[in-house]
Amino acid sequence: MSTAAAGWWQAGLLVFALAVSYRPLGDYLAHIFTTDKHWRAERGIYRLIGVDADVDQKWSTYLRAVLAFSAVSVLFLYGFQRLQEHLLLSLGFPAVKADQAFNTAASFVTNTNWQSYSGESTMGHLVQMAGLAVQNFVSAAVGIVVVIALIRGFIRSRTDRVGNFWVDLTRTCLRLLLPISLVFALVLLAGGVVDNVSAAHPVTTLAGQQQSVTGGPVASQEVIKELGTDGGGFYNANSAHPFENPNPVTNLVEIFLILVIGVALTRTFGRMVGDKRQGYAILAVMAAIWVTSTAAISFFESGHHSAAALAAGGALEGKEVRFGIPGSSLWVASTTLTSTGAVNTAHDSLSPLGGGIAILNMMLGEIAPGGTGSGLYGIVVLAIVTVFVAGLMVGRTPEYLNKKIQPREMKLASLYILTTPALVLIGTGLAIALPGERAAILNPGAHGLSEVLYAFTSTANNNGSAFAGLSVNTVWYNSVTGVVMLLGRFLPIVWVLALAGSLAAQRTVPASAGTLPTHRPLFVGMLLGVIILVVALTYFPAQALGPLAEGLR
Amino acid sequence: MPDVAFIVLTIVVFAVLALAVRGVERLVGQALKSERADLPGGGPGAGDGVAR
Repeated sequence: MSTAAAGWWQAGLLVFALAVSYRPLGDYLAHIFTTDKHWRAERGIYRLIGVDADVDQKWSTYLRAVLAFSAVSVLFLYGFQRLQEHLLLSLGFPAVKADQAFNTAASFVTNTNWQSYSGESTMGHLVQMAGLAVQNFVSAAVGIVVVIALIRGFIRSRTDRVGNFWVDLTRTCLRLLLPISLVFALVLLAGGVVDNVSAAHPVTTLAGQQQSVTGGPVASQEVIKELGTDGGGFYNANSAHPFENPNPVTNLVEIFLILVIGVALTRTFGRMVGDKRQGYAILAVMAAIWVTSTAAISFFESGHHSAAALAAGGALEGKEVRFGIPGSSLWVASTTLTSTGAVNTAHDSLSPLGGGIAILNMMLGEIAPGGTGSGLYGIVVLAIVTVFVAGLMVGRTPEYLNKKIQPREMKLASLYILTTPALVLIGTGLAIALPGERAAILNPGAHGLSEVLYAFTSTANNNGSAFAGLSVNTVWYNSVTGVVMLLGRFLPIVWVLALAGSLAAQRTVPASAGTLPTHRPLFVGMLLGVIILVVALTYFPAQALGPLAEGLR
Repeated sequence: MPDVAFIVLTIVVFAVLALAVRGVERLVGQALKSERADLPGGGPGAGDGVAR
């Protein structure tokens, strides 16, 4: 089979699987967050933590619960790593050093999973299972519950209540993430992904050298790593490692897991706001960006004109031959258009423009379909900006989903849009300006700038993938990227939950002849335009000095 | 000593986030007040579908 045919088959199967799961999963998600009935296990958890599950919280109480839960999670995970050598299943590893433990704790609690450490030679099994994997579940759940609170803001009227954080979090974990993870862990095991609690095995290589091969609870973590758009690999090579992702079938299953919740949430959105066409419109924008990105990366990786690429039939440096260009390109687009950051390819070895698109995908705010929950709330904020721009054009008060978009909402949407670029560009500027940190760049010129830009784009957008070629395991990088991850995750959540509170306080306004329909192709096109003009162009100068300069050289 | 530094850093970051919450609370708090006072949408021109 030719490479192009393999690419079409993989993309076709992936789209088919997502289409089949779209309706049942989206409807099930809507059911989870609208039913009044609690499971017995859930009631036990509420009793244990002292929560009245039948009382909704004010948006500000909901927000404080998100922040308090996350702050405690960071401190707990930090302590866990620092005490590793005294814990069971530590495999003899010492305590993780302080700056790296802070960075890793911030990284996993924010759903980023940026890794300045090598998993198999730094973390014992208990820290991986009871520390990092737990955050893979709950950080994904936090993203989902925030978007559900935002949706409630649209559908509720004259109230300050947007739900109960503890109920939403518990339901997301017990009813959604755990059951799917259980089923797909078995699928991955059947596909050859390992899962055990072995220590390192010494083996003799074909060349007669000694090598240490570490086993571990991989399949059980691999599934939530993709499903929760987390991305932190058990192994340093992440999903390029044959124990994490052995063959093209597991590769396709893992890409499906990366995308499935983000895609299905648009159905949930449509169901909950009472107009499924609103969800289809958002999905159309996501699909247009995902298809364009995948096609462009495949094009640049297949058509790269270096001598090595021409001899190999494509830019295969840094790619796994078992996945080829189609399996790698699909992955690169999917992992950077969501907040996953898991990699099956060395992103530093992508062609300059292919790598530039990977960075651009994250700069768009990871909205196609985005991280679990965070992708949907990101694109809904952009939809609010779009109706505002449209309102300015025709002189009408902007409305979205029967709520007026007033100065208060626009202030919050503007803060949302400005927060991430500020973190990316200030962080990159500082790293380039400080001589000591500039020395961490291992490649000269435009590619070196791309590496720093990628690092801050990835951490501020909570993606977590790395371009490599940058020595980030330093006190400065661990501390600064740790803070960037925390602010890049939680400041937007502050603006989004405030937006939910502001919308919930408003009365519902019936649509009139002057209301812009937000389910039609015109709105889909306008939203795409706003995403490109408002978001992508913010970063154009940085892109021009990095990937574009390198690609056009 | 480094442990104290990173725990303090974590607390400072979340304190900044708590300040941001206080800021938006003031902004959004006005929304419900104006709705409950039955004012049309919180400002002149709002409520009739025409921006001024």
